[in-house]
Amino acid sequence: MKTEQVNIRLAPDLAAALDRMADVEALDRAAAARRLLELSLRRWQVDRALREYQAGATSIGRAAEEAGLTQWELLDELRRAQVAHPLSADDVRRRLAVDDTSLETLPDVAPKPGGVLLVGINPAPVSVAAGHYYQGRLGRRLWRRLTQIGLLHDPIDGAEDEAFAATGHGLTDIVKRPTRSRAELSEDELAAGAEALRQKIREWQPGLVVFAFKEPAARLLGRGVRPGRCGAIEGAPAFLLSGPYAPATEAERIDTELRELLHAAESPRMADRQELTQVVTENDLARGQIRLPRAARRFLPSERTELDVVLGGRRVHATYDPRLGPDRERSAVLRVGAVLKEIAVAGKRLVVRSGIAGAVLIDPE
Amino acid sequence: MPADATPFIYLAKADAFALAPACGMLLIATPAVWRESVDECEPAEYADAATIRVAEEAGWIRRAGLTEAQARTASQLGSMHRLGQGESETLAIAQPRSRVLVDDGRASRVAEALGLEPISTLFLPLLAVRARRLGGTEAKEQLRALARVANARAEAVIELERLIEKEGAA
Repeated sequence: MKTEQVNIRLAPDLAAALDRMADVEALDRAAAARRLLELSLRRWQVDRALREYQAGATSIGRAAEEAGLTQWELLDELRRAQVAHPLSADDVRRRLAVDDTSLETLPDVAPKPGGVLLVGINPAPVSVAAGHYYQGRLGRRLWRRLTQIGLLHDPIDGAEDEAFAATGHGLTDIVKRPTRSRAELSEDELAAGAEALRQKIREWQPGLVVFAFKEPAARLLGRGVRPGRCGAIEGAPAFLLSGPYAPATEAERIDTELRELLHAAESPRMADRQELTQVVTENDLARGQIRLPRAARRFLPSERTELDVVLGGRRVHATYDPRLGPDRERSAVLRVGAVLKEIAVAGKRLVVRSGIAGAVLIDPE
Repeated sequence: MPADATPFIYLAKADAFALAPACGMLLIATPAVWRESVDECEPAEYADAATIRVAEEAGWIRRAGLTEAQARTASQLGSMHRLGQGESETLAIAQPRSRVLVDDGRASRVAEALGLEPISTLFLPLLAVRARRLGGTEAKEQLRALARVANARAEAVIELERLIEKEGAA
């Protein structure tokens, strides 16, 4: 390493202190002086960065860069120096006052597990003012359509969302900020909204996600999504309604598809009747398995497969084996894992039934 | 929403990343922000940094690169306003009039001057209450945890608690 010679004169007491340090550290006088100089310069750099930050002349990030510290280290230094976070009470009042108006919106209505979740783009100001979902021109047309499909019964005019929620269905939007048109929403909001919607679906576990408009469906399922049954989100089947300006024949075709999907779940064969599992044993609990007699098999696929089921209101991934066997038929086995212990007890049976869009619902008897 | 390294560090230390989805936010980390908050820290000394990776795996954080134009803007912002690389990149990738998660006072002022809406990490518990995804009591606990790690001023915390209570009563 290239070095330079620097001659300095020291007061006798400082020179004596340097010698004591060299002695303790087993260094010669020059090496001791070099080490002290390095440490002092390092400390000076940090102190200078803290002073500049406190004076408002630099940001946290720039201060860390100039001090040669990571941001974690700089934040620790700021804490040690008792430098407070810059936010004042005035900042809070000034910056959150904007939100007081921008966040006035319609609250989410969570569906019961297995219910329908109706997803819009964002609330219209007219709906927010009314305190009810879909009160604009297109929104009211949507309610009429859902009534014809059979998702809404005897609604009160202007409070259709309450009748919808009363049957266990839910409502949300991909963005909660109300605007007059879709064009006022930023890409950032829509991207964040898509992630938030996924989270809500994971949490609420609806039996069917119905998109009232293409935009939110495309955000979660891709731009190529088309009206009708359109894949699944977080295990929940999804359905996109035709657009408000679709030709009448196209709209009727899609509405019929949804009506049939819902009817399949509500028909006496599938929904009104339910079946019991075999009695749960300690062995079943240990293996995380549910044994299903022949009658209960009709709610499940005919072949060995993996699927999601709603177990005690919670969506879980399961493997299913009908165990038809070449010799004799045995109880089918649905393996759900350790979560079984949370809802089942040994010596009792579980109830199996079918929910919307073929969802398999299993609950304690 | 683009977020700077300091909010990531505060959220990691307070173990409060779940506030982001509760507020309906997907946090966007630029390469410099990721480097400053995750890659550069010493795992042995800063175990909380692993929380940031967990939040990314949970889908609450997305890493995003910069276009050439954004990289130029970031460089200009850094030299003009004496901001760090992470702060500059965070402001450079923000959409017009959108929110950015920044705690630094200087970066917040620059964000406002650019027409952006700076959000402090300390606002998140209140925003989660407003989104009806968090109760008042839990929000205050989360706020106090964040206030501790951020060394927040008592006056700001009291004001935020007042707003949380008001929101909870509404």
